[in-house]
Amino acid sequence: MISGRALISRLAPLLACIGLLGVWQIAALVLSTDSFPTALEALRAIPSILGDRESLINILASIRRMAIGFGVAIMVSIPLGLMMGRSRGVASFFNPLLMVTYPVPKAALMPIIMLWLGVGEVAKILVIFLGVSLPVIYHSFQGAKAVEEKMLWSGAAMGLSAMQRMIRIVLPAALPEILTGCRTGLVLALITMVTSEMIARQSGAGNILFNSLDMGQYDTVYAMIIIIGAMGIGLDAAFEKLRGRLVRWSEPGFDIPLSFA
Amino acid sequence: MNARAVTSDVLLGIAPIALLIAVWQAIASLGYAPATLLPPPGVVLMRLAQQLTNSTFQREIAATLFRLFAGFSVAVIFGVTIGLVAAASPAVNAVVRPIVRVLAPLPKVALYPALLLLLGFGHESKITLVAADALFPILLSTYYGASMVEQKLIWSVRRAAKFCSRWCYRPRCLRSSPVAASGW
Amino acid sequence: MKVLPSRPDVQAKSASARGLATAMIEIERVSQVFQTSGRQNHLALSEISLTIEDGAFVSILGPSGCGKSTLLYIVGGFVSPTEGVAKVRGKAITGPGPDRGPVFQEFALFPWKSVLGNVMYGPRQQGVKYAEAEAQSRRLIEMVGLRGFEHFYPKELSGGMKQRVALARTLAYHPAVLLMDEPFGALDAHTRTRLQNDLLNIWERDRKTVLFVTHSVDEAVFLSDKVVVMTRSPGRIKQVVDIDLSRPRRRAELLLDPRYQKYVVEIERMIDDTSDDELQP
Repeated sequence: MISGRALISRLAPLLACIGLLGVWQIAALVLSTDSFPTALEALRAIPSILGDRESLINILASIRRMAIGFGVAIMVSIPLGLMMGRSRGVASFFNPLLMVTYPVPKAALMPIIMLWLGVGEVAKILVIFLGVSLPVIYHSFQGAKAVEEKMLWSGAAMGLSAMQRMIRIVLPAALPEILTGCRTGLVLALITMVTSEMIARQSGAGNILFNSLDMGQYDTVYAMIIIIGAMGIGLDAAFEKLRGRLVRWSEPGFDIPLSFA
Repeated sequence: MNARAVTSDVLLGIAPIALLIAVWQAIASLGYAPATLLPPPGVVLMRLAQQLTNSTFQREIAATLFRLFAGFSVAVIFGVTIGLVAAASPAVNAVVRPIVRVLAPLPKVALYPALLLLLGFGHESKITLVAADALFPILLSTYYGASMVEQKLIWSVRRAAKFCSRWCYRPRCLRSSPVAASGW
Repeated sequence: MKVLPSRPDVQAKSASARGLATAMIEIERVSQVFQTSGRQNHLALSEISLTIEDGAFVSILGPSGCGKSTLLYIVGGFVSPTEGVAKVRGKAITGPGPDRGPVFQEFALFPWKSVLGNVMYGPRQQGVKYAEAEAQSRRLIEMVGLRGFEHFYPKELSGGMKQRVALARTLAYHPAVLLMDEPFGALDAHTRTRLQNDLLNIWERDRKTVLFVTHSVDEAVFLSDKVVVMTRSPGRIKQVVDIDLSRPRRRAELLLDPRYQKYVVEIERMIDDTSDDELQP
């Protein structure tokens, strides 16, 4: 039997959504301009977007690009970060590059990448890849560095080789930190996805968003914002669930929080 | 002995970047890429120097910097305030928490078209975008920093001080600032 | 796991006294130099020579920074000596191995594995079949007094419990030598005395060779056959004291035993003595 209070806190995000939409609705009615449709008008536009074959293909293409960019990024970044964490040589080599390129917004590289690779799939996936890699490398690096040496020594005494220690001790021990990096990476995947599609149109959810802006279809603009927002919220929630399950054993850390736990 | 150690570390740090520039130069001069697509580093540097003295370029950079700092300042003001208040008051916390959970994962750049429609193509829309993007990390870090301040410390300060409000927030602010700073 | 019946009325005699010559660990003129962050050389250990017999419980005692942990790490193969050589069973030590099992002050448990998972890790690595490894591990977990906690995770355990798991985990792969680095240092006094007792009870069963690093004089005297007293940095052996107290040792009796008290006073004086002239010949 869930108490009233617990029920409210479980539903709180939903209530927040409704609240925000409510505020939007009221503000739109008050301002009453063409370029600011009410929340209800925007919501009404959503089924027609999702029902439209072309739009749906665009949105799925965005998701696909994010998945590929994210997937390749973590496959490359996690091993690199782990090696940096355990080998001073590797760390000294890559760390300066990391520090210099981290603050550069990867979307700013879009024009150059478009010059070399055109406006298609590869360019967008590359930007997403670059955006996701850096936080994942950084957090994998930090996580691996923080692994207790004595834990590795215990493993060595049991007969684990260097490679086995890396895969069977460093990786699981650093996993909480790695997953924090992945969560940041996910946020950046979303951002670079939208930005890359803003700069290099042609396909995608961002494409629909900015095209409808250009064409004055204001309902669609706001509807797309809701859709992209929902994608972000959904992916983040799913990732947090996965993360919780994978690192149930860990002590809570004090890293920069991306949201309320 | 120590100075030598520091310089060797610095040299080791510069090495990969220097290597990257060298590779860049090599690719450009050996002709593996057309000059239009990959100008050699020297040419790029010269162009950069040229642009920096160009007044139009300077104006554009100034505009971007202005928007950046303005947006960031707005985010700091709102983020730190809301973060502190949410940490101090359970009522505010209960309201702020779910709103942040909903809005934080939203890529703020997706809001850009809405901002353009509502605020026009000038500074306002861009400053708002910057503020929206920077707000959440600052808010969350301030919140977590403030909630880590030990309750006992606050209670003892409250008892000792005559002017509750002035004293309550100082240890909170000071203690939470390292974590808040990391959000920046 | 060999289980020997305990014989309370027999004095613990070293293996060589019983006529069996078995030097388990030989440390020959080992020195260790570390480079500090200021690129300066720090002599941690200076010309340590020591022989430890099979089955002996030997404590290494000394003030902070005397290099006693470093010596343990050298025997464990985690650190290579700058000079000299350490041997186990006559063969030079080149790296860590399952013949020398460590137990660290920080516990160093694998947090992503349960108690059972941690203890089973070593045997599984050695190729023992799952069912047998599990049975073996459960017996060990019970022996260290943690029955019922097999599926708990390290984050749910207290310090004392974690150290019990660490001990069980190391015993699980049957090392010939136990290397214990101030294992009870992070625990409160009450837990410490309980674990000291439990350690002795467990050790009595199969009499492994134990190298036990500590800075507590009464702990060293209570547990060991021999106490190696080290000087302050650079660490040298000041003296090796034979502890001639009968086993099994019970804390309540020993605390009132004048011979025990005499050992403690004598050794404390040795450590307090700031002159480093009394070197072992």
